[in-house]
Amino acid sequence: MAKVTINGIEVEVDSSMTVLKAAEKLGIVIPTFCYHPRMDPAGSCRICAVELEDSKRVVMSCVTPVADGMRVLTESPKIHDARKTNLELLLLHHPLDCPVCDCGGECPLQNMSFAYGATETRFESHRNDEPEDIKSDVLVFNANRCILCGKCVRICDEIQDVHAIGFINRGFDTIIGPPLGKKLDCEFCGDCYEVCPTGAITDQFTRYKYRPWQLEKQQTTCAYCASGCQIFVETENEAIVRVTSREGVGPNEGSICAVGRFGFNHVQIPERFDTPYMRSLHRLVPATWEDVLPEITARLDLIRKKGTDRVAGLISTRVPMEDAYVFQSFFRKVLRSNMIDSGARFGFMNAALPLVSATGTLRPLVDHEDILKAKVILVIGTDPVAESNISGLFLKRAARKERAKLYVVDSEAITLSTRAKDHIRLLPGGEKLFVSVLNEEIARNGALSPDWTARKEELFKNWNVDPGAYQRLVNDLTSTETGIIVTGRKAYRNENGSSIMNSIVRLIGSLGWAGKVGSGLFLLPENANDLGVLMMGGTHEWLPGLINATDPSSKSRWESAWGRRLSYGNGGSLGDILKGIEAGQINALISLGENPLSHFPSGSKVRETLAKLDLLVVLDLFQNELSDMAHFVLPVSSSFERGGHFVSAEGFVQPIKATMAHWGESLPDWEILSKIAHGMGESLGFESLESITAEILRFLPDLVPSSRNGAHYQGPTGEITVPVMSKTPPHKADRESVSVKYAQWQSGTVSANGEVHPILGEGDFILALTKSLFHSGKMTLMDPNLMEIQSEGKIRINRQVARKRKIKKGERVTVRSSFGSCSMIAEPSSSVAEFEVLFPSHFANEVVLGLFPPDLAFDRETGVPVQHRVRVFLETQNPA
Amino acid sequence: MTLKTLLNNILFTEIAQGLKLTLKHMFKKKITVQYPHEKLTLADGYRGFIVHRRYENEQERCVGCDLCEAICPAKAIRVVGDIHPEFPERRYAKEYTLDFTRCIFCGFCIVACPVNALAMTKEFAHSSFTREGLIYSKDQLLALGDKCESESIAYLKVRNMWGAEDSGKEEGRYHFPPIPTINAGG
Amino acid sequence: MLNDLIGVLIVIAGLLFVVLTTVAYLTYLERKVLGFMQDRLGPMEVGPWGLLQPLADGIKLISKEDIIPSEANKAIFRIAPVISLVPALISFAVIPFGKNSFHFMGITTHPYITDINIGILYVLALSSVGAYGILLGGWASNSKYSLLGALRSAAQVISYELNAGMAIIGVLLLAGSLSLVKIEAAQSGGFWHWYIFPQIVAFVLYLISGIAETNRTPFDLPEAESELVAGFFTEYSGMRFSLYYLAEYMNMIIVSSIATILFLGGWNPPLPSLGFVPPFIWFMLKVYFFLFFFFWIRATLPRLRYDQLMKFGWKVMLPLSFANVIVTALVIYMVRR
Repeated sequence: MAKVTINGIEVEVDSSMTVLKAAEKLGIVIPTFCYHPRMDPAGSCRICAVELEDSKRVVMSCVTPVADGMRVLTESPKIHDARKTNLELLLLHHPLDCPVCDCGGECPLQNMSFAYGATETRFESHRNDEPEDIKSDVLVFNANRCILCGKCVRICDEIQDVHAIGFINRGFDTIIGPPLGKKLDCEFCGDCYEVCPTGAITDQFTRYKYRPWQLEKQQTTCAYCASGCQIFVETENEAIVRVTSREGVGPNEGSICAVGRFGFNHVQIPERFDTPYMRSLHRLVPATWEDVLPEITARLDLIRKKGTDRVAGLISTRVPMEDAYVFQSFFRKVLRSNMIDSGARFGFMNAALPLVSATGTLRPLVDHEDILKAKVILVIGTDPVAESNISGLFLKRAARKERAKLYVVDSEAITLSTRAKDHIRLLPGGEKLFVSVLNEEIARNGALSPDWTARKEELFKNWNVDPGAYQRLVNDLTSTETGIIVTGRKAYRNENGSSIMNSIVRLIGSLGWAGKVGSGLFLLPENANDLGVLMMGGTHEWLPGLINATDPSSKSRWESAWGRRLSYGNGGSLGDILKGIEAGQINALISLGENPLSHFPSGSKVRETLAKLDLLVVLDLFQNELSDMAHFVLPVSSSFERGGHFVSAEGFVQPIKATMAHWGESLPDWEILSKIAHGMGESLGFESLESITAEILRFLPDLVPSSRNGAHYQGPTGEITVPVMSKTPPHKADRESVSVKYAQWQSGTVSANGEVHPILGEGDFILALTKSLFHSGKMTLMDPNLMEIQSEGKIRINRQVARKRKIKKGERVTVRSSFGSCSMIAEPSSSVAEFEVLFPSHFANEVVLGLFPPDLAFDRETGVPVQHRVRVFLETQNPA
Repeated sequence: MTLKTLLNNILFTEIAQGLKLTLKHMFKKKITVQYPHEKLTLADGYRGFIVHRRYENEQERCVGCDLCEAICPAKAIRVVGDIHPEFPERRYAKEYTLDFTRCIFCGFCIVACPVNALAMTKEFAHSSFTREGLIYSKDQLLALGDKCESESIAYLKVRNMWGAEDSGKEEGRYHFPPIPTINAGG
Repeated sequence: MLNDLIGVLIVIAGLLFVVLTTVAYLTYLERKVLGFMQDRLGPMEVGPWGLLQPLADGIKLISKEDIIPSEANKAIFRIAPVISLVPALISFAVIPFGKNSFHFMGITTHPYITDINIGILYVLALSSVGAYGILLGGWASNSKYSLLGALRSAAQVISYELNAGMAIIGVLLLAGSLSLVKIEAAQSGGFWHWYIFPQIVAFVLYLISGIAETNRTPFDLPEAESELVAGFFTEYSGMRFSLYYLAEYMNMIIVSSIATILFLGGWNPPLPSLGFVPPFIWFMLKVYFFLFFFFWIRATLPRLRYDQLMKFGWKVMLPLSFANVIVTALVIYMVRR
């Protein structure tokens, strides 16, 4: 500890602190350009100068560590002169084009020049005349405005670990940009644009379209992935102009990915539904709510009178938990149906079911902070950077800055594998074998039965697993103090997803991590509110609070809470719903933003099945295959137009806020369902969103809103007893109760060694659908900004293979499987394994889906549709 | 009451003084200007209708910077900026509307304009049967500016905003480079 | 007999023409005088120097819509302007515009319609009736502004009519007759015979009361724009509005004429040697001087407060007029003895 006196105020701080941080602790603001709290200090802008009272010296506060007895002045005539001179020097090059600069109005350099009155320079001005770099579709670099603070280069290196931009040239000619004058090619997170203290970096989407003082700023939660990033939506006249972040706010600490930052325009494009549609003479025609609602009500009323489980429901996992709560209430109370399922069924259920049976909760054992503290991290079956960018950011930081031992198990060289201690590059299809052997090895403490030894040998021989790396992984996992296993979409959507996830959940138990603070499993959900929708009982398995929906004893708990009998049927998942429709036992389907057609191979008969429905109601933002078939299409509010709460991967319950005006006549999902219920003579009892939140919190008080680095919700205290938060409410699972349950589960079940789905078909390559960083579904595909960043799906091929096969970049290749063929644009990539070809799953249209086996199969344990990878041939289309 | 005030009251002297004054004014020169038949000569700094100006090469000066909108005390100006369709590194006003029904002719926008794209003229007698008729678009403002170019230059000179134009230097008011004419002949 | 009738009709026609034209051009003259006194030009657009302005105003007023408020007492609302105008108009019957009789195609006629022996009483009576038009119009409009204007008008007319009547008594004592023609004749033979000199106090009192009776500035409280919109005729428009206007200007002419007759010797020339100028011209000159004086006062003085008006009328004017009558009577009694 060191005692420092700053401006006459004494403070005791850690001796590793810099003068700047010590001043910050006192609430004294020292102006900075190049300082950034999350990065190492650079000391390049010379604006944070302070005076040492004893030696009368001027030092840079951001790089000077405190010393005991130090006496510092942050404002003095000498400092004022020093800063003013610095500004004059900076303004030698800086063009005074503030009126046309997007930064004008929120520019630190502008503010500082104003504050220090550096209006005239004593030096001869030297204006650079470098043309702007507008090659990139996303970011624009203006070298003239740059003051070379280096923040952008450093954030790209230190925080994002992308290294896309750097300093070019030396001396007066130094500019910042992508290497070799090429077009910028990076993750387009826009953090460089965010931290730039001048207008040197701007983006193409909002360039010249706004002035900062016209914008109204509101904090909300990003609705794309489950990282729960806190974003600031800035609007002019209730239309979104841009999305920014604030340093240190939210779980994301101020970083947001390309999708969150630029993916806001889909909510304000003319293609969006702005009025209800009604089928009339085989065509969907615009109608009014007054026309549509009584019609739907009447038809639903007829169908529900036929019996229980007559109406099926699908809910997207991008809706707030309030909507999911109303959705299941509507189905279970009003329609007496348990035939409900959510978008999580396509993957995340593979993880959720074993996890809930093991721990009783979906809240994670670890969060991002634990990732930074973990000594060993195993990333398996996921590409965190693409799937959950901000979680990926923390993993990068853990590996690079915190020196965690990172193991990556994947066939593809994902972004993290360059940071990994070992990248176990096993062949596609071996994932299930790998995790089950690993689990057995750790559970038996290395004493494997001959049967398992043979399997382990097979892993080394047939599946390309390096025995040395495997052994290092086993040693590190068993000996580490804190360890985290990260898994995600690739594992959930594996053709053996159910058993892989079962083995991984088991592995945590085998390692004894359930009871070990700081260790555990970190799941990357696929969508923003996978956790929230499941917690609210959005699937047939669970009532709200993850209580078994069919068990009479647990059912009676909600019956007494709601004060009414629940007489729904046994229910079923997506597979059962499709079967039921086929058999005529289900007559109506209500889909809240979910489109099953886009998930199944085009050869499957899902479309024909759905055509048998008497009533199909689709609540969505955009036209899709399902809405084309629908009898009624109802426009819903996007997450930018309404309130609610999302549960992030870390377990934070974070609010979303209405930032823009309602689009057309769109309404929030819960309101539409409440109106239909009202029309059927039943009241769900919700007048406002707040009343839903209040009811959820009354029955499930642990879902009280929480966030990291943010203002905490201080709930209305009235009939419900919400504790007023003085500190962050718990967002992680309670470790004690979980570890007890875990042990019971571990001993009570046998390790699933069920059926292995082999990779079907024949061919040289294995075609897999992966998630692209820039797209996550219909919303991003409709977004003009994100489509500008990535406009089409390209098949990624190993670079060496492409060279051998003479496939050039941008060339069309024919991909042929045993089930179909299609033409795709090739993109050679060094990260793809030589026996694999990868295609971004959200660009997989009917033609691409035609490559996959047409028969529908559902996992016996979890009901998740089995999504195969297929073997394919590649054929070049040479016009010669 | 003194005798004097009594006399004053009886003889109505105060009223008589007033009557004298009004009678005197009856024979003074009248100051009325018979407006449509005779007009006053307006000074160069007259704050009349606001117009948009062009560079010598016919390119519009406005860079769509929104500063006039920001300073306008009557919120009469609305600017929508965007990337110039022909010059992707340049900003321009995609839409520019000036609502003369709200304008109070204070001239702040002209002071705020960094490129002398705005000026006031001696035009004042514009009227319309509808409100919309007095909400001028950029094209209308440019057309009016073309009509009154000498007046607008005179205004800027009188209001000391012409210095940067003549000096040709970058000091003082920043002089944004005009867009070169696309066709050398034009 | 028939000739007499034709003569009277000709006089009536001539009188109407003179009075109405005077009224019309009085509006023009007022605007011009006011304009000049305020360094303006007044009406200039219609005709040369705006001379056709009264015509344009007339056309405008006639062609305007006649609006009757839905809550008004319609019958009274319609009739009230007429009640105001007619007494003003028939007052002219006794005003002698000149001395000489005309002989025209065997018809003998006078420059006045009739000479009744109680002429001055007749005028005073009719001017009181005119106040009813204002009172009824303001009441029937069913508007608070109109009602307030009407009430003020009633109070004002009662207060000042009294003073006017008392002021006149002095002159009547001197002339010994109520006939206007005889009063004029009594003042013939040079301006030193005019009653303005023996009755200077009465003259001032009468002039002030006259202004107050015609609701002119500074006593225009019944129609005070800044307080009552337009006072008693707030709800009137078009032709009915112009009837009130006509009535006001006619009253001005009558007050001016009476002042001329009683104090300035009517048609008598100031010096006997100026007798070659027709008496009609002398009469009109004097009337127009008073009318000009009305405008002049308007351009000079601001409006009084209502309590000032009342205090002035009852506490200053009335005692003065009584004193004037008593003194005049005493002096006459002394002189005749």
